[in-house]
Amino acid sequence: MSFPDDTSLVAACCKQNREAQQVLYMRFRTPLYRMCLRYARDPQEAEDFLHDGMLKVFADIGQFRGTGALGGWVRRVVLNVVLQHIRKRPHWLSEEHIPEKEIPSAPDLDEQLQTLQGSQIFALVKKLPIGYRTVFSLYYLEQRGHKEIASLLGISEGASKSQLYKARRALKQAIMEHFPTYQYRS
Amino acid sequence: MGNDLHNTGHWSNRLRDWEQNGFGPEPALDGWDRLAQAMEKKKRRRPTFWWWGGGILLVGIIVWGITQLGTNEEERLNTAAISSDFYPLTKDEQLVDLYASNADILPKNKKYLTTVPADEAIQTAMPSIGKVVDQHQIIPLSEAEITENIIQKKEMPKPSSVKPLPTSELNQLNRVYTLPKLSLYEAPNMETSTIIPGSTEYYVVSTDVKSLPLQPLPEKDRALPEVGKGPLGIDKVSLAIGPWLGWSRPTIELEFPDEAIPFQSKTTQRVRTQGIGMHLKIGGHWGFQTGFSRETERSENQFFIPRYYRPEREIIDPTDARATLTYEMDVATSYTKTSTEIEVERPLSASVPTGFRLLFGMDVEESVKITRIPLLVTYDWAISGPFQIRLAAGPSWTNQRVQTDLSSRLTRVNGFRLRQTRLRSREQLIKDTYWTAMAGVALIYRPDQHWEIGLQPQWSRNLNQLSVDRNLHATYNRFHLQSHFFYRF
Repeated sequence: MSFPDDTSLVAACCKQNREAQQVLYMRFRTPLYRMCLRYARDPQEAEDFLHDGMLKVFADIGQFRGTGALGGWVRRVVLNVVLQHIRKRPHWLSEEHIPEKEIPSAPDLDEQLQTLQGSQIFALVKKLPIGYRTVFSLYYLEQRGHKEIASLLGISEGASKSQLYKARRALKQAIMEHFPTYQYRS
Repeated sequence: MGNDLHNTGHWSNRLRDWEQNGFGPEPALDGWDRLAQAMEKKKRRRPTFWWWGGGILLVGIIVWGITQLGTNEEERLNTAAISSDFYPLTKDEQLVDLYASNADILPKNKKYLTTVPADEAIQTAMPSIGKVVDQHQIIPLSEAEITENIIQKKEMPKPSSVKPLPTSELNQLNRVYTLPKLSLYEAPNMETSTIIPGSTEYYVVSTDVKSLPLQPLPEKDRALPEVGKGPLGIDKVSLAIGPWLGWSRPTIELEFPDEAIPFQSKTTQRVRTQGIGMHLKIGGHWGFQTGFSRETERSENQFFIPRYYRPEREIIDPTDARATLTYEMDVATSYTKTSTEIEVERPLSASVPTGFRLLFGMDVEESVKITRIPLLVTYDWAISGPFQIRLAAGPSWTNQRVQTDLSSRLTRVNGFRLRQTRLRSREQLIKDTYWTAMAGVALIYRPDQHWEIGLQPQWSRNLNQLSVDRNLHATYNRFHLQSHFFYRF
């Protein structure tokens, strides 16, 4: 059975058509898994996030109105499931202390990131503590404001800003460590 | 940091592009298989809800069946070794003629004009021969008062000439009212002679009704609904409110008992027997229970607007209001006639998260000399996480020798659109051995194999009494602590 467009694919998924569900899963599994990896503590947890997220997608697929891209809707649903899991974790906010003096003077973080490949950025973000990278990912990659992040994660707006600030500092440091040439460029 | 930080140029897009199409980590290959499996499992789980619903329905049917057991007259008579005239006198609705009465009520006065026609001696002695069990005493009035109060002399004969009135005559009376409580006294000497069907003894009760200006209903309004049916054919609407685990169970009931009282509101706060106790089970399967119980009852009836004559204002007769409150403190010693209770419970099979098991028990209640041996089949069903539903049902062998105060109450409106109420109370010795049925459902919280907390309502039926027991128990290994609430209806 073929599904020429998203509408027919969604319609089939609504009818619990396993083939259609598999097509949808296979189409989005890689980007969703990588997104989950950014929020997960380990690959196994990312698998679990993806699993639960896709269950939610198939349960709620009838709510997809077709007004936007199917991929965007699926991503939002899975992200919400991921955030639900994160909220349940105790003490997930990162409080790692990064001494100011250890951070060398460096160019602007965005400027540094512009020079890196996608996979390199992913690897750097993945190394951040869980709280930092959660807020960092939501802020930069999901384009959410601090107010919304605070609401999504059940934290204060100040905590969101603080985590992002620390994330940026930690990322800068990581860049310096992994790509030392930046020190000389500054 | 403000919104300008969203302005990340292209690096975030590059990351997203890489996540979409780049070479890198991939999810496990069996991801779809696991997903499909999970969805299948979810799909298959649906029928368990039907099983659950079916189980609840089954328990409901069992409970309903138990409640119906007591309505079998023959069975009651066979199972209760009590005086044979007890049930016929209190349950047999052929007695409608026994208290044929017509009355006008002055609600605030509560002073009833009483005449007993056939035997002047009984009439005179009546207030004293019976045990008054209600706050409303029947006050014999003088003949002058009777004459004064009987407005329709033609239809309301004088005491010396009172005879059973045929229905046709009663229907012609201008003032026919309901009398909520007519025979509220115990009159043991009169039982056989006067309280039998076809008796000529009539208690004619009347009061001054001058304060209630009445207007006859138009003829067309006199059409009566089917006896025993209210609006939409409903006999009774009952609403129970209040905390189920609290000290009381207030109920509001609307009854449509008969043609003469089209609408009756009854507010009852009734707990016949109420107990709280501690059950301590230490080691083995032996346990001891003690506590105290309280009995209280308060009810208030309101009767509205008789059919034939509509007063200008509502008649609300609170004469049925009564309250009793007794306390009983039990002490757990073997030398007192109190509610020392020894329970032995022996599960015949291991407790399981989901599955059947048998529970065999013995329950000796010293206060009423009841020995009960239940054999229950329980079904434990792990519903979610540490929560379990436990359904239990089974027969119970019971031997009892009860010296108890039985009271029964019959309220009925007879064909004359009059109301009769009997309240009988007497000491009875009930000796019997019989089988009864028990059913219960419990919600169990069992986080691990060592301890559990459970809430367990349980219904059981013995003799003509329906018991609702509610147990709250906590068990840690062999230690069992139980709080016990029970109602007996």
